Amino acid sequence: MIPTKFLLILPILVPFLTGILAVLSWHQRNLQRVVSLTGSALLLVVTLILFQRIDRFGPQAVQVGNWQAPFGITLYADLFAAIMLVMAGLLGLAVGLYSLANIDEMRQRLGFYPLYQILLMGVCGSFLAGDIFNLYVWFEVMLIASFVLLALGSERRQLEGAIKYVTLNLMSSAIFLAAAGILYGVAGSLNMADLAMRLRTAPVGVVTTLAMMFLVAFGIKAALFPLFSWLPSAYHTPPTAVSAIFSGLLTKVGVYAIVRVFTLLFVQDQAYTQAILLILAALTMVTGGLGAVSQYHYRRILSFHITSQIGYMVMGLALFTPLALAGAILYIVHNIIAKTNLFLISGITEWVGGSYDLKKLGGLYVRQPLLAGLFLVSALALAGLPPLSGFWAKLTLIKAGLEAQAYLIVGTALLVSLLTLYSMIKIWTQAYWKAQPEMVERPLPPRGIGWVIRFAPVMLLAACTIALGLGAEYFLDVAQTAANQLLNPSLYVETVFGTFVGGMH
Amino acid sequence: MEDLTLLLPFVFIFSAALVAVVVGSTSWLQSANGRSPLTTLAWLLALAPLASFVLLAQKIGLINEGEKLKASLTWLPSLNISFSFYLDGLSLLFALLVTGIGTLIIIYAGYYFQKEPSAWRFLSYLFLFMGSMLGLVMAGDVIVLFLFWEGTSITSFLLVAYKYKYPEARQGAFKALFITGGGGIALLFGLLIVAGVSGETSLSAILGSGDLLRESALYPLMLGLLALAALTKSAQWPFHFWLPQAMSAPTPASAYLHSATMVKAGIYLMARLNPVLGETELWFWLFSIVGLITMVLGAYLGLKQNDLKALLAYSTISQLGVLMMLIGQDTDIAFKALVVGVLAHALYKSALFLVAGTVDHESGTRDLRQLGGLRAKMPITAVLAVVAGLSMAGLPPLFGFLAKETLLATAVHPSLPNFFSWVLAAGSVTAGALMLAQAGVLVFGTFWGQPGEAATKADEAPKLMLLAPAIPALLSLAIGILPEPEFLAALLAKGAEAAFGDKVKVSLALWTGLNVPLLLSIVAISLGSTLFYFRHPVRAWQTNFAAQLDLNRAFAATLRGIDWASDQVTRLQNGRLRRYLSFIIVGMVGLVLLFTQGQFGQLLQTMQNDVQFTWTGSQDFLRLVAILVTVGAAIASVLLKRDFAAIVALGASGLSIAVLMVLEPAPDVALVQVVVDILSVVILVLALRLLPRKERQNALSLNMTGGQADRIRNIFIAASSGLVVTVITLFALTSRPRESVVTPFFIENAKPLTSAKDVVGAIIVDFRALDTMIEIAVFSMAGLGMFTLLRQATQALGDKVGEKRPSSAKKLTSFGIYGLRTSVFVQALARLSLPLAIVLAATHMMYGHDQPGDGFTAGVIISLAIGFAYVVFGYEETRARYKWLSAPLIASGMFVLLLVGTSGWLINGTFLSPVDYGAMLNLSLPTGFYLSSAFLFEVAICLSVLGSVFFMLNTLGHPEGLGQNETK
Repeated sequence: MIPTKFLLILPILVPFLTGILAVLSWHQRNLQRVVSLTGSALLLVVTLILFQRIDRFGPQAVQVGNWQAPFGITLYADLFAAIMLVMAGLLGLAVGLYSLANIDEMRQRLGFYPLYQILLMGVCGSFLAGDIFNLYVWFEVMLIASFVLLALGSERRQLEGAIKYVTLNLMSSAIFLAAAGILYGVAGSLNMADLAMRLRTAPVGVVTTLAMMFLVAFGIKAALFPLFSWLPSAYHTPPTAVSAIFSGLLTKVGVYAIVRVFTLLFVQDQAYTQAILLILAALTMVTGGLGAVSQYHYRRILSFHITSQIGYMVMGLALFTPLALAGAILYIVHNIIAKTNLFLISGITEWVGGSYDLKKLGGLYVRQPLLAGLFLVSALALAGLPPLSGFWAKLTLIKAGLEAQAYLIVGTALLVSLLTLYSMIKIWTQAYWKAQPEMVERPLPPRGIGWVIRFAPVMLLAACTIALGLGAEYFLDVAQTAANQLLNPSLYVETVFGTFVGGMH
Repeated sequence: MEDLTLLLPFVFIFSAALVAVVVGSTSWLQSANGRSPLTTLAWLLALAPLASFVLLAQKIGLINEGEKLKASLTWLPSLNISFSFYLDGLSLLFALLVTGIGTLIIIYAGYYFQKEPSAWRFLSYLFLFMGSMLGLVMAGDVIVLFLFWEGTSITSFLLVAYKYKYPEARQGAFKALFITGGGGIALLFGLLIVAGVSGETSLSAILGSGDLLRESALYPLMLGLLALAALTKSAQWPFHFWLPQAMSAPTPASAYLHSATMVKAGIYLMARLNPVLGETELWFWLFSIVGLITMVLGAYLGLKQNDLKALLAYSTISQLGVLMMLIGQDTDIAFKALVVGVLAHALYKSALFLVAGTVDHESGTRDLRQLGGLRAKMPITAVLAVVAGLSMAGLPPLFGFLAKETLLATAVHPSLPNFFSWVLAAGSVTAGALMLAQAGVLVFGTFWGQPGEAATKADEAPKLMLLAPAIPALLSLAIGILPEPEFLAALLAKGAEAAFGDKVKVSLALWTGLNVPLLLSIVAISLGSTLFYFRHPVRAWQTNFAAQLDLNRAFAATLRGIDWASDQVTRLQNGRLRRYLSFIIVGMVGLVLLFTQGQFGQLLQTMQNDVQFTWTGSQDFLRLVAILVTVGAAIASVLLKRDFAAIVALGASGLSIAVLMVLEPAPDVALVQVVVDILSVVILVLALRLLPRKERQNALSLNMTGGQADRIRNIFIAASSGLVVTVITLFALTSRPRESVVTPFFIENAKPLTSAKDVVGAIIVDFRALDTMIEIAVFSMAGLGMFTLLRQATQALGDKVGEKRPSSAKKLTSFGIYGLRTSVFVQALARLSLPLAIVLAATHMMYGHDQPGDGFTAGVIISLAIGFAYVVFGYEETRARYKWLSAPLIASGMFVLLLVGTSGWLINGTFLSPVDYGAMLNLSLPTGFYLSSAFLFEVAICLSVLGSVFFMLNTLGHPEGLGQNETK
């Protein structure tokens, strides 16, 4: 059995080592592919073991380099973090496999695999960070890796999107860094567990102002209204594998950070922050949902929906009840899987149909029934139709909303799900049902290894969507435990300091 | 009573769907040897609904004794939701219709699609729908009900657009899904409120908490939402318009979904909830009025249709209006009328739909203008049409007559408000008359009169295919004329009781004596006959009257509204980075200001009191100068028109920040700031070289465009954000005494714990080693990124860097940057500078733990020397001279880091814990130098920096870079 304090570092070390090995095998493309895929598989295994460990023994913390908290850097994983890590592992493997076929040789030669692994490292690190500055550093890792991945290939529209992406995200970094600096000035510490205790005695005004700065910094990452503009400008430009991993993980890291700081650190002026979060959640849902409606580009529709669905996750946080948070967690998990899969499916659709433009696609229902079926599963899950994964997440959120008597947000959430259905039906009728516009029949790609590499991850994720729906009870149970841990900050503090800490509420 | 056999029908039906798919994906259906395999498949699969029907029919006895059956599986105990089913009279009535008519439809579809082997899809969708519909009416938990409700929406979407290649089919399906899907959302909302009020999601619990629900403050909301769901699903005005368009479905689907089953889901829902939500004023008026309008409107619109299926669709709408209106009433007779109406309508309407389908199938058209005189060619079909048509017209001795009689009896019930009773009676009579007329038009127009052009090619359908319309048509007759079947009357009574919530007496006798309903019926029949007689002028007038009034326009307008809103949203997304940045900055300022809620002035006030500026002499003078230079240079970098000058100004700004740091005093940080600043200026200048001159000028002119207003707005945004951040910072730092927890610890323990005199060094490589490790990864990736991004430009020009060295041992020419020859003196300097830099860097690393200096600075120092070499020797010679500069450098840096971290784990049991290898191995080393993990850390940092800078210089310094032509 791996000791826990090492197990907690492995989700960082595995992709790090994989990335390094991929750089070292710079000239051997096939070796890089093997290394990358093995690393991704290993990451999934490691995260699963970690999840199982935490599920059984509760939250775990490790002090890196053995420097006692709050003086060194703490890594912390509760069930929420563990769930997110498993998601990172799952996507890392699924998209990693898909990328073998989707990423062209030129991009592979120019360092796709090292960047991909370092991106995964950044994501995993963010989930584990128990130190606010350490979190900032992880964000930097993700930003640099994602920027290069986005621009890799240097197609004109790619660069255009990438410049917007990097500029706006640097803005986020700047605000984050400023906020972290001020926070350190106010509380004299960077360790989150330590901060959780200290901020309770700090002046409410300052803390809430800081909370707003963090909200903006993370909100940009999470693509909240009105900070989301970078996302629809960029996500449809790179190869599908890149869009897919971005859509699945990057915005969710932002959401994760928001959830983390607003359950652990900024809980003083709840009435105010909750009101703000609720309004932002509603506006995010609506603008994202509406934004998608007029689009005719497969991946742009999906991109706008990413934003929309972030609103649901924030709604769960804003309601701030155990059930609501459980709903948010369930929603995050569901969304990561379904949305990534839709991106992958868009890639296969482009592969067989020759375009991302709905006006140019058509007739795939007959020619690619399996693809059409896989799309339908993910699309209906995304729209929240029972008994697929999205329904349970939505149901839990709505139930929590009703219990909190927040009828307006519940109504909004439900109406927006109609908009989601509208967009998904649009893709379905245009890309799959409608007859192919040009008379030129594209030859179907051969059912070779490329076919398997593309379809296997899609089927895996579709199976996960269905399993999430059918095994809803288990997942809901886990999500509820995770939510209860989140709502109990003293558990965090006790785990990090290893002792009982009284006087927290 | 628990009865798990209730689950069996679902097993049968969903297995049938699966079998259809499995068989469909084999080649069996393709082998046409005389008898069509699809027909055979349909016959076999029809056993599933038949078995279900039989199984359910066996429960009639129990149900009639007043028993309620339940079957429940655990599902989501943590939300208190179970996968449960519930069977009482009402459910059973609907369940029998679903499975009974379902059996016939499947058999019929087998013939209808005889020549289409791919129709296994249709069968499979149909079974999925059937299972969903059955689940809907047997659900014992509102979540289960919702699950199946949405199931019917999706499967009907697939069925309606079965001929998906036709745009109308897709549009019809979309419209149906959008409207019923919207209703589904209202349903979920409403059901969850109901469940919230009653405390449980199980149907039996909800049925027991009527008073609680009716007295709840949320009653209007939940009723409104549930009504919205029911009205959309059951095609009630003003949502009725989706149903006629859904007629693009193949006829077997229409016959099943749009007459007998799905459209009655709304009726079922409200009937089901009537005992707990009904009997209120709101309930009464809502359903009476909507039902009345739908009834009359549907009957009126039906008469003018030429398409057989459209006519049937509108008459269905009318009939659904009748049922909805009945639910609104609070009398036992109304609920008798309800159950009789449901059964009668299901029988005659499915028969008529199937007749219409047969006509369409055999003659190739459903247009009344082309039909006529088919009686001779299709005698059996004609007889069936007459029987079902008479029932639809409400004429004795058919079952439809009874339905109309009970409806009229409800309309004149003394409990109704007097004037409303008149309205209701008048409406029912009008609708009845119109129904009679259109039944006449349908039957007569198709089978009698002048043989239309379609009649010539028509032929009678296969006998077994006619079984499907024959059974319901003949049942309509049989129930009317045969002696009253006890068990059926009892079942209907049980159904009505479940919906009414009290005893209902149901007798199926047609003749109840001479009374007001009978008189009204006679009025309706005479009126209808007159209408039928004058059908041509009436229908012609109808076509022109109020043709503009079409709710489809309202629907289209709604969709346009959504599109408009979408455009507005996407207009914000206009592709201009500056606007996005403004959003973000204004968003942040707004959030902060919103929070302070006008207390900003007060904040400033507090700060004025707290912040004390005291002048302490020369140090402060230097500080002031440094600040002024920082700010001035920053402003200059914005205002300067030449890009090169702007970069230099930016560098100056950075250097004066270093001065501020020195004064603090923080020499360590200042040192790093200086080298970073120089490095970034070098990189920026090199990058500038790559930009074509024309583009550079272009960019400059772009920068200066935009009106005065734009500029003022931008200045305002920038200033406000700066101000807000400044105020927050000041306020945060002054509002409480600064008391760091960790700083004193670091100062005290740096030496004893990490043997470092330099606290900053200790923080970087020991206390916060993880951050450093990650930042190195960031730096390496940045270098790699620059390389990969600029790579294509150089690769396009035939360079092989990073893959293979230039193999040809060309004579080194020592042409410097821009291809200019450099002086020998400068060359000598360049040759000397690298070894010097390496020595300097080595000391930095060795003593970095005690003195200012670190691996980062070391790396930059060496890099600058290499940069110098690039400038002096030019690209090729530098590459040839320093062969060790290559891609794996960055990886090696990271790799050393990983080794250091792991060694900490192996030796001390913790990743990244400090180790002094020198002390462990008892090496004698120079004083002040420790061969420790900290030292290796510095080396790793240096390597990574070198690797990254190599990547950067390599791509930026490439002679064939972009824009080179212009610069020559």
